[in-house]
Amino acid sequence: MESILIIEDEIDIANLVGFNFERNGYSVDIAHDGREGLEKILKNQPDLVILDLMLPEIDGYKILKKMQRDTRSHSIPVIMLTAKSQIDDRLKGLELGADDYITKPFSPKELILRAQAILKRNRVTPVAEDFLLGPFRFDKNALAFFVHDQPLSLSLIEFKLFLFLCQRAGQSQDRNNLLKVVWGYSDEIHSRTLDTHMKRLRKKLGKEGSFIETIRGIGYRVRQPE
Amino acid sequence: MTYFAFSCVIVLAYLLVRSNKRQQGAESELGRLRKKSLLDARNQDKSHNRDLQQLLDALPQAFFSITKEGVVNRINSQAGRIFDGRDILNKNIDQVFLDSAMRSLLLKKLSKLKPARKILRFPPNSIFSSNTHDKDSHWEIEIYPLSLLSKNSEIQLMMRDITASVHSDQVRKDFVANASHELRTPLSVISGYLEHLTEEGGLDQREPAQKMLGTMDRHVVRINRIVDDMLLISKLESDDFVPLNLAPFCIATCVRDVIERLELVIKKQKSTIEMEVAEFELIGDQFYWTQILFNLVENALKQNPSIPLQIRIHAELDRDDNFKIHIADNGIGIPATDLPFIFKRFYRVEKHHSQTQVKGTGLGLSIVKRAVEAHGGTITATSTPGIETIFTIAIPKSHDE
Repeated sequence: MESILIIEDEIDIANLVGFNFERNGYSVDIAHDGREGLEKILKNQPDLVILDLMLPEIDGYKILKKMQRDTRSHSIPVIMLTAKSQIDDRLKGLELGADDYITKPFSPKELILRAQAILKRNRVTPVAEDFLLGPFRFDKNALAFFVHDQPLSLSLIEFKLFLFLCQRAGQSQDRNNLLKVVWGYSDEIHSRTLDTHMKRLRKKLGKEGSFIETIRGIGYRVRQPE
Repeated sequence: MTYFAFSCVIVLAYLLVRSNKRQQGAESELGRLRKKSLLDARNQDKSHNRDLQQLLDALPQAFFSITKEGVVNRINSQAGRIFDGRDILNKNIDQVFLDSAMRSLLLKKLSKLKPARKILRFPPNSIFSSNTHDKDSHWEIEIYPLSLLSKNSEIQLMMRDITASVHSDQVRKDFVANASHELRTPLSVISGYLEHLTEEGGLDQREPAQKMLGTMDRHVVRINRIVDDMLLISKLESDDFVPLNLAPFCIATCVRDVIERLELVIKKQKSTIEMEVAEFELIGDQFYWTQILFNLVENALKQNPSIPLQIRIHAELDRDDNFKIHIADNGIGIPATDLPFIFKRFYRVEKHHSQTQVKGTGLGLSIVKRAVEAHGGTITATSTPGIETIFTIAIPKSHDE
C-alpha cells in the first residue's frame, strides 16, 4: 500500500484529504505543523507528500528546500496544497522542487487523480541501461549519475530531465516534450519553471554544464561528445 | 451782411485755434501714454513674474525649471520644502538630484526635450524628505519641455509625493488577498465534502454523512463570521469618522451578555469568568462595546482551548469620569515578539499545537482596536506568557458629546 503524508494545520482540511486518500486505498499519515511534517518525511519516507504552504513552525517552502538537500527525501514527490493563488507563489514552489500544486478550494477527486499520476510515473523506474556519455556515467543500479566518477546529487526533477536528454543526446527536445516527461503534462506555470530547473542542473554539472545546450525557440539538447 | 461775414470769420478763427490747441493736447497725451506704457510694461513684467511665482507656489507638486545646461533656475516653495531648505537654485542637477535613476531620467529628457511621466521609488535616506522616514518613498515625476522664462529651451520638472496613496493601495490589495485566503479554507472543506456527498451512494452511510454535514456547518458559520467581520472592519476603517449610536448604557449588562453568549465554550473548557464591574452607565455605542468585549473574551478562550482558563474582567470609573476596563487571563499568553503586531489585520500568533476546532477570522483584535479608537480611547496589551495577559482599554472623560 502506498503511503501519503499530509502536512496541513487545518484539521478539517487534513481530515478531508486523508478521508479521500484512504477511500482510494492509500495509507495516510497526518502532520499538523512543519516541524512534525519534516520529521515524519525523514523518518517514514512516504511515497507522496501533500504539503500546505502556510504552516506553523516551518513553512512549506522551507520544507521543500530541506527535502531537496537531504538524500533521504530528495526523491519523494510533493503536491503543494495551498490557499495562495498568486502565480508567483506557485512558481516558487515548483522551482523549489514540488511536482505539482493544487489551490484551495480544490476538488478532492482531482487531487487524487494528480497524486495517482505522479505515483505512477515514479513507480515506473526509468528503463535505462548503464551508459557512458563523455564525462557522464549512468549507473542503473544506483539510479545515479557520475561526472568524472564523482557522484552527482540531483533532485528528482533534474534527474528525470538529465536522463531523458542524455538518452537522446544530440537531438533537440522541445519544451512540451520535456514538461510531459517530468510532470506528465504541460501548462504555462510549469513551463516557466523548466528554465530554472535546467539552470540549476547546468550549475550542478560544473564545468561540464556546457554539454546542455539551449535551443532557442525549441528547448534543450545534450551535446553529443566528440 | 458784413456783420454776418465778420461773425463767420470770428467763429472760423476760433474753431481753428481750438482745433490747433486740441492737436497740441493730443500730441502731449500720446507722449504721456507712451511713457506710461513703458513704465507699465516694466511693472507688468515684475507683477507677471510675481503672479507666476504665486501660481507655482500654489501647485501641490514640487516644481523645478531646468535649463538645457542642466541648471535649476526656478523652483516653487514645495520644491524648497522637500529639499529641506537646501540651496538648490542655480545649481547643476548633478549636485541637486543625487539619485542616479532620477538624474539619468532628467538628462535623457533634457537632450530629447520630450514630455514624460514616471513613478520613481527612493530609498528612505534619500534627499527628499517624506513622511515615511523608515520606508521607501514613491514619487510621481512629470517632465514637460516648455520655455516659461526664457527663449532658451528648458524643461519643467514636477514631483509629487505619492507614498501615502501607494501605501493605502497596498493595504487594500493585501486586505483583499488576505480575505480571499481566509475564505478559501472553509470553502475547501464545504466543497470537498459536498463532492463526496453528492456522489452516487454518498449518502448511503448515515453516520459518516452526518459527521461531514456537521463539519460543513461549522465552516458555513466560519464564512459567515469572516464576512460579518470584514463588513465591520471596513465600516470602522471607512473614514476618520465612524458613525456611532451614542446613548447611555450599562457596561455590566454588556459583560453579562457576552458571558451568556460564550457560556457553552466556557463550560466546555471548564473555564471561569470573574466579573468586577459596578452598575454604572457610560455613553457610547452599545453594539460596539459588546463586540469589543466579546472579541477579547472569545480570543482568550480560543487561544487556550485545552486548559481551564481564569478570566477576570474589572471595570472602573474614576472620580474624573475616566473609564478603564481590564480583561485579564492566565493563559499561554502572547510572546513579546508578537505583541506589537496583534492588532494588525489577519495577524496570527503561531503556536505549537493550538488546535482549536475552527480558527478565528483574524480580524477580531483589529475590530476591537478600531472600535475603541472610535470612542476616543486606547487599548494596550501586556503579557507574561503562562502567568497573566492583560488587555486594558482606557476612555478619557467625554467632553464634547
